[in-house]
Amino acid sequence: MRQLLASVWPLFVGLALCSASLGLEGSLLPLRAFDEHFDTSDTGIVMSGYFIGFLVGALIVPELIRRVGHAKVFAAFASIAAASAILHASFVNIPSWLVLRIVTGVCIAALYIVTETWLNDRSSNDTRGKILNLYVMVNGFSAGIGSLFVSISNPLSYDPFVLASVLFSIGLVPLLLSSRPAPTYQAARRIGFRRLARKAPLGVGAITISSIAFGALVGAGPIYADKAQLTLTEVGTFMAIVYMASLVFMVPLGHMVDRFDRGRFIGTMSLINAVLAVLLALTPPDYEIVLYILIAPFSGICFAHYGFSLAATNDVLKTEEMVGAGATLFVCASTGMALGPILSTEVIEEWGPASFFLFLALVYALLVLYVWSLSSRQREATTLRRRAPVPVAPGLQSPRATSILLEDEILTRER
Amino acid sequence: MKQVLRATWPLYLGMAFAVASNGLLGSLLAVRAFDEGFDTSDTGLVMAGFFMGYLLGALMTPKLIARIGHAKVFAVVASAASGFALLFDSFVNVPVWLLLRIAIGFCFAAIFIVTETWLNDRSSNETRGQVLNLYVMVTYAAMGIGSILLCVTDPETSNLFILASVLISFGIIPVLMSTAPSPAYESPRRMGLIKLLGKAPLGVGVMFLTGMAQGALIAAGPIYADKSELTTIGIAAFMSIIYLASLVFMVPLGHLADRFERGRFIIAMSGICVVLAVVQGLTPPSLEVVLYGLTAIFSALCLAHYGLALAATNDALAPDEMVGAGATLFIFCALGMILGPIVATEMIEAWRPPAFFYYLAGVHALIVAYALAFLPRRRLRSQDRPRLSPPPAFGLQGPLATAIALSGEVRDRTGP
Repeated sequence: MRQLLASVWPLFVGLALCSASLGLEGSLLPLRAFDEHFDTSDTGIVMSGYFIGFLVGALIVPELIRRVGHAKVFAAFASIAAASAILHASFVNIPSWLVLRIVTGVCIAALYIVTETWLNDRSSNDTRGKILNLYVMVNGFSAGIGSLFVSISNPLSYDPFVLASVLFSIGLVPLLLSSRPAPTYQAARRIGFRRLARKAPLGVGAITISSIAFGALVGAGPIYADKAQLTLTEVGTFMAIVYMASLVFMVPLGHMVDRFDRGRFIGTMSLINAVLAVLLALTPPDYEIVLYILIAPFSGICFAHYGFSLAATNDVLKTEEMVGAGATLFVCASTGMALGPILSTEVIEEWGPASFFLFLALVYALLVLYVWSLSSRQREATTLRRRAPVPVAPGLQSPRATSILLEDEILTRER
Repeated sequence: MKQVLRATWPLYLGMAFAVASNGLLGSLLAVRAFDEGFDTSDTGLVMAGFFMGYLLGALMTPKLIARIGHAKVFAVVASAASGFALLFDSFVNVPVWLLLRIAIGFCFAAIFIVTETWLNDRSSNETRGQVLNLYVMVTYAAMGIGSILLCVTDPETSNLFILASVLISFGIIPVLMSTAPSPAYESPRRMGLIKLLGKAPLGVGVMFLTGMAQGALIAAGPIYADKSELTTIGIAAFMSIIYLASLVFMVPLGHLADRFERGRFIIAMSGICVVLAVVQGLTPPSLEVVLYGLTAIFSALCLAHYGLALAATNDALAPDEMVGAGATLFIFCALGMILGPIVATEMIEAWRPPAFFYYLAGVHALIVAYALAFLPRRRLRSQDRPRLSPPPAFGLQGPLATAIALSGEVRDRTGP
């Protein structure tokens, strides 16, 4: 493991810088949008652009990596991301921001895929789980730190955008300066959506619905915080807690998911989050501490649903289908994530900031209902019960990490 | 040639974006420094910082290329430069600007060296001249266009810095996305400074002096233009004329240069420059068109001195010494370029804007005097003289283009 870290640290350093920039942008844009008097719902559309781009990126980048190589793809996209970060400050209007946000999404997907496949290639079966865990943690932690940066300067000025851009520009340096050879790359074959939905209705449904909540939390969370009249520092803190709590809860939830029936566990967790969301809605925003305390477990569970859904899907698939399924699941997740900020900001616009959490409660209630209806229709007699993959943070990884873990699991089982 | 172009266009394109950004940044910083109330001489120092970094970059880049390869070096330095370009507007003070300017100079030296050595590797003996000529033309055109970009929006806002940064970032993409492999690389061994000075005093001296003139023209030109109350469009026009005129005159001057004895030709060119510069100094800036016309001819002749000094050096060297000499020669030029803007802005500050042209007249007068002193006693027979190898008009390139031009010539002369 130490040896492995010695060889991949430039990758981690570069990625950490990029993720910090991403976290900063995620909080900065809604704040600036608010100051510019953009419509709340328009801001929501802008924020969803990121997930649309993320999806597009996940589809086109693998081919690009195969053609020009890992390090170059990383550098090119980090550079584009740097340019689009600073262009937000030049063209302050909804259509430009939407385009820039989509571009950013494509870039981040590229950075994640490069990093994941690279780490995968460098790690052995013994170290793979640990290194990918570390990877998700580094991502979440840096994104959290990044969102704290929003409080150190004025969103109306040019400086925070410069910071976001420069972080990307520096982020590509360590990887390029390390002269280690990049791995070769093979893309995975996808499984069609219909086939997957028929085979694994629980996993497909859960990942789509929970991703709506995830997209809303990450994309529109700062919009809520801003509308609820939180100060700059509080908005930054709120988002930092969202990211960091997901890391704290990642490991215990990952262990728990293996000890219960999948459907029942997903249903219970959704129910807990629905209740937490209602409590959050009832909390007046000037009790920030209560808000912070409640949002921590909520976002922990919210992020973890991705892994739960993945595990539920794997349970009903043949071993050789799992890798391709990971990519299809990711498409479902991205669709949900893109919807999240759009829908939730419509709700905020219509009924005020507190309705943001009521929207989230509703989404989780829907998921509870969905799980319940499935389990009453079919008792899963054929479950294979597989170990759930560990990293469980959707916005902080690409479908490739999913596939990698699945491949890993396949290898472990075959041995 | 068509085949070479097909393989190298991403490099030309990427470099053009980066160079355009450099052209923009040069004028923008001068204008902005004026608006921020910086001292003229401080501004000159900041502008000279570019050449300090340039010299450092030229000395260090070859090792970096040998370690991590062409494309990656290009991406790293271009990305760093795009970050640095943004920081000017965040930290508006002389020390930070000086540091940033040095850093950007470093990055651009690396960009030029990567491009030159890459192009060199991709071209054969038959195409090398054309490829490098095109390279110089693209550089001048991009600098010219970059200078014009100064008028697309108000220099008071951050937008032009953003434009400069984004242009460099875009430059990275074609270079990285091209699937052509980076060439293998060996850095040339430099000849000692003293040794070269002893062997080719004419070439070395002229190179240093023309560095002083070119550095001032390029880096302090916008300061002069700003001080003499030209509008933003006027400044942009003034700077872009410098580059575009050099582009237009490059080929005819190159042909002309080969028809006369080297030293005498240098004396003639510098003599014309002295006269032109004095007339420019006497021209009131309100007669803009006259100023532009004179500047066009002056700058074409001024920038052509690089190629002339190079050729004068070659005349005195054996073929196997030329490559190592090119890199050393560049150091003399860079030292002159660092001094140029500093001295020129001191003079602008001490007297008034037209002193800029009197400084240029003075430097060219020195060249005339120096060349007269070192004029070879015996005329070289024309077949002994190396052809003035491409590219004849440089001012914006790394030391390696020099070395490459020379090595191409070496091959021409020694046979394949």
